[in-house]
Amino acid sequence: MRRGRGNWSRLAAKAAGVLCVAGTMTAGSIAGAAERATAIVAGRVLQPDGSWRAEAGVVRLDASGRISAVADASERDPDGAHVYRDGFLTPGLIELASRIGLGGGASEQTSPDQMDLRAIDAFDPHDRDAAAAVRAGVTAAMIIPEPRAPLAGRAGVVRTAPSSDGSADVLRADSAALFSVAPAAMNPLFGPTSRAGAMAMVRGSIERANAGQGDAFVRSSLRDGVRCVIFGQSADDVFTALGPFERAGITPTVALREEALEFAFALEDEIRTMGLRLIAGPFGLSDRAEVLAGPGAVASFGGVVGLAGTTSADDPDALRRGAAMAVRYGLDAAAARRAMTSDAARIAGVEDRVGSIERGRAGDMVVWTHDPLRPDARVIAVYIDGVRVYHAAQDASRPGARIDGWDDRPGRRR
Amino acid sequence: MRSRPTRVVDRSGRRGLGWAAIASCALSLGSPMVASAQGPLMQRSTVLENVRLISSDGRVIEGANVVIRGSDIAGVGTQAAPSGPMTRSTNLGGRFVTPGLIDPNGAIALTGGNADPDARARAADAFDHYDRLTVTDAWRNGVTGVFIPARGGIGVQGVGAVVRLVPREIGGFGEFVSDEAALCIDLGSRAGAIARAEAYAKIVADFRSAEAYREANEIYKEELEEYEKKVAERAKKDEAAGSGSGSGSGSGAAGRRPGGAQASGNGSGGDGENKEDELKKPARPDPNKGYDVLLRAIDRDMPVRIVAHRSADILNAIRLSEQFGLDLIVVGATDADLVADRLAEAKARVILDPVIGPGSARSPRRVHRMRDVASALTAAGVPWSVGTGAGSSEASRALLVAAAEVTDGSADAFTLATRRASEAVGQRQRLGTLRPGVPADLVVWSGHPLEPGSFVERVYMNGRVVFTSPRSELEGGR
Repeated sequence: MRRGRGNWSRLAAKAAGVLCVAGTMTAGSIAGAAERATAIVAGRVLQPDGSWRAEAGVVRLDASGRISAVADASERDPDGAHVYRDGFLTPGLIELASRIGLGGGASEQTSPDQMDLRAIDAFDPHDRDAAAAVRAGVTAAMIIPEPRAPLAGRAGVVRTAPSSDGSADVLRADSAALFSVAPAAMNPLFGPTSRAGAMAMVRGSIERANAGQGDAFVRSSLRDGVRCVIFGQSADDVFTALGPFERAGITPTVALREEALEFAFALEDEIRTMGLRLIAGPFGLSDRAEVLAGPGAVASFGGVVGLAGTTSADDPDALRRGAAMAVRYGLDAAAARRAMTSDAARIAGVEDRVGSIERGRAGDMVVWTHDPLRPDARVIAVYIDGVRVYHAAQDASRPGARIDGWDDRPGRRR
Repeated sequence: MRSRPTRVVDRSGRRGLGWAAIASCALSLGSPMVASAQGPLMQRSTVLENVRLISSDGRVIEGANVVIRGSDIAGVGTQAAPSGPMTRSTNLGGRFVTPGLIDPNGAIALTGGNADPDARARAADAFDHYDRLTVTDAWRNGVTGVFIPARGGIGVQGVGAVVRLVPREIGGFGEFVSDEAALCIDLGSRAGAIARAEAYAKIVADFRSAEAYREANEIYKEELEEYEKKVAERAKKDEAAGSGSGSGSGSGAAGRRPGGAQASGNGSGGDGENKEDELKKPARPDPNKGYDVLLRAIDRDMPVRIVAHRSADILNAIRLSEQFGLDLIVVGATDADLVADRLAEAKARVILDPVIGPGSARSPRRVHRMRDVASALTAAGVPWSVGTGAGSSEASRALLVAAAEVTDGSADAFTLATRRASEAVGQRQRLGTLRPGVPADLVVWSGHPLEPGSFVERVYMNGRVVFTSPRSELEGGR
């Protein structure tokens, strides 16, 4: 049903010739006229290290929407610039281990080896959750099939807004090979039925790949630097699963949630020696302090942290809230900003395209009323490839959506 | 409206120092405030120097001082603070000082499960004064005052209380600012249609019965008065008859017994039996404490908080309040935007409770929707605030987050969690404010309460330090 609606929307989008997602006919429409900016001027710009550029900055964009220069704002704003004097400009947020837009369903359990399962095959860019993600400043997501087998499938990285022809905007189709030794990956019918069984499959897969045999995609994870992500329910699951990767010289990413995060500090040696990366979360307000302290602990060992979220139309700010809670329990604010942008892009393998405001990166950016780690921050505008795909000042879709007082005229706040 | 610092004279200070007070940080009115409260002359004072305050319009005021005398705030200002042998100063190095946050609807430290709905039930009686973990968690998140609702099934649930989370001299925590702060009713927010309809009919019937109970009592009072009058008249008459006949005083005394039973043969005539019938003492209606509580609500002696989410339930709540003249506060109010005008017409107030989390029974969509609801309520002129409604450990943690996520621009999150919240619990003069004369329940934050990474470093209750974060680098304390 959802699939059908997505296709219909896609056709409608094409027929209308819309440039982006601004149409009102789509299932998850986003308010705001699509306008390409030549430059964006903002009161504060997020640096690649996660800190804020102190002076107002100007980000220039080329004709294809890539960032061509980043500089301090000058007295005269560039022609065609969108100016937000009091705005905070960040790269578009990136959610990891995400389910955004998987309206087609990606929870499969038909075989213990599902490495051919690709999340992007289930992705619907017109899904209402995807549209809500754009409005919430989440412009890209590393989407994953539910890890329900030891060889669980392939993550993909997509933009949350459809491309100009209405199709899915895929940044990287096969971003990561997913492995799981969590109980959810076990199956009494066709196995494995234990962690040892799951480990046997994971180990076998890695060792075969290391010998130049077995699954081509897993082999590519050794050869081409495709990411490997390990899911475990407990920190002990992860310890156990790390062995084969370590022997093969692969630095995997581990995805920890809930109680496993409580023991993230125990991964200190692996983080320091292997450069282990972490996908943490999602977090909720009811998580215990020990769980919320996990990302802070990993970052303090020098580990790269990205955040999983549960962004949806029902809870569009879930990613930012999770980041803010991790900050409250010890994660450095700059590391938290990176966890939603540049570090998330590194973990997803798309750091050369998105995740930071630097020359050569795509113009995927978000303007906020405050630092996005503040719970009262609101999205003012969202840009993808330099095109404004959402503008809160024009959003009349819901009473609470529109933010008055912000426009893009030089030096003015209405 | 922005208020201006005003120079006034500190009449209670030992040296009578002039003090400039900052009204805005404390008052919603935006008017100049007095700088100090009168207090005993030789009470010990503490001056929190070099603090930052947040005004009601969100401005940050640098370099201010807060003076605590005894257990109350004595002054708030940006100029020289009193000094002397009885004064101790603590330099807070530019940290933020705010009033303690108030959760206008947070079911914390209420032990045990839900009881059967009963108007006589009091949340104050269920509050666990020795729940140290919950109280400490509240302090850790800057919360010092909570409205605790009475909870118990669908219907009239009992009476809620407002509690300050202050250590008690007799041990434990929690002083009730009001132990009967509001009548709590649940229209069955999680129940099916029939159950909700039945609950509403039952509640209406309860209120009607309460009114009938009052009427019966009034009739009883009238009849009792009439009866007493007649007894007195009869006694007088008997006395007159007795003294006229010259009989002994003994029989006269017997004739004045209450209850109308007269001694026979006193020569009063042949209609004595009929008079005995007339003087039958009226029967008093059986006392009903539950109805007494409902009648207090009908008399607007306390507000009525009705948990209602669906528009139909909110309309029922309005109908109930109009039928019985209640002071209505709608709690939850997920669909309030759809009936905002009706809420305004009924002069109702609203407390949103958008708390979410994986462990919560509440749908995450509510936070998102609450922002729309808040906007619609503001547009319609309905006063609203934000509580957590949570009955679990996340309550205090969620308060400021919920307020920040919901706020629609008419008030910042911080104002929602202080001034608006204290108004919602009917304690505007005492809680959620930094004005002279109110209890010194203060929170010292490492940075602006809404900035990422800032945390509660210290909490003062009644002017004394009750909580210091292990992460705090502050020294000393009182």
